Amino acid sequence: MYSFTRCKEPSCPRYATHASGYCLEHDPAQDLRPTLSSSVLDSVSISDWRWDTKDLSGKRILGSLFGYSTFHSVSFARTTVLNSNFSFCLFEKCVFDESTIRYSIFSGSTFLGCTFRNSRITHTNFNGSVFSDCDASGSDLYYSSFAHAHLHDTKLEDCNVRKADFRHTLQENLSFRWSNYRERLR
Amino acid sequence: MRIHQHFSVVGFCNTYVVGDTTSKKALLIDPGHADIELIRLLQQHEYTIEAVLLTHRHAGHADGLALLQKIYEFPVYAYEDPSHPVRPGKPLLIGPFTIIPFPVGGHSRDSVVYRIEDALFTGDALSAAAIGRTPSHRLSEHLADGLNRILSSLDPQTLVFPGHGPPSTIRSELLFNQSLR
Repeated sequence: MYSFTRCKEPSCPRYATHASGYCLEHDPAQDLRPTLSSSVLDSVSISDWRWDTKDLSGKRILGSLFGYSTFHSVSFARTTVLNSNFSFCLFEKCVFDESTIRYSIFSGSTFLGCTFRNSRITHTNFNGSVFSDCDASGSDLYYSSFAHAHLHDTKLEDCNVRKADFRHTLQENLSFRWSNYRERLR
Repeated sequence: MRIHQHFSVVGFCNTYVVGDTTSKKALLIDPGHADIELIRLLQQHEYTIEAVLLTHRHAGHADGLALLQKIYEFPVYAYEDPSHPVRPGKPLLIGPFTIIPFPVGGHSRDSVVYRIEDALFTGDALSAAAIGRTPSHRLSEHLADGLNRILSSLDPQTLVFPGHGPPSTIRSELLFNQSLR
């Protein structure tokens, strides 16, 4: 579920981070630790932020907004991501293995050396994204959309791509081995 | 305001529940199929349905109404509805919600896009990287023109919730939707 709570600072148009009621700029403490220590990140808004070597594995990320951020060596392994917006982000060497991602937006993002092995990534928007040296083998990509994406040196092996949208994609050294690739939209 | 997305394999349609966490009042958008999961979602959050909004009256977007009307009482808003019509440019004030309707036509004569705060509910008129199917090329151009006008007038970070497929943002649609270029 997406949630929209504005920053308490009058006339600030940004969304509040969950813990303080203020956006990061107006939060007096500017401390993300209380927000991130929880196992459930519900309605968190931390956009345009740099995340380095963080372990978010096993967390539940619900209705949260992380657009325009950079994630470097962040682990999302076994994470559940529902109704969250990660559009126009950069993910470098991030791990999403065995994660569940549904109804979320990653459009316009760049993924470099990331893995999504054995994950359930359904109803998720990757339009216009760039995937380089990534591996999503063994994943369910049902009804996810990759339109206008650039996928190179990437493995989508043994994946369910039924109703997944691959129209107008640029594909170089992309492997659909053992996947039901005839059922994809193209 | 919280937005819950419900997907049914019957018609592959997305139904949205827009809930106000304080008053527990909710809007239901396009109940194409009402199943136990949808009813459980409403009960779990203790929502009362203030109204149902239809983006258009195709079966895949309205067939769940019959069952829901046996359980709940609510008005149904749709374009040119005799009881609760949706008119261009006339905001609907329903409970705590302010809804701005944008009739777009194209996909069907009664197609409407609704804006509620920073969310745009587009039905079949617009989905991620595609616009709705139309009976003719002329109508397709008409739909694309109408959508371009609406999208370019709103905040690019506005979230787009289509009737089918994954959600999107206005910025993504303006960049990656070939039909809107």
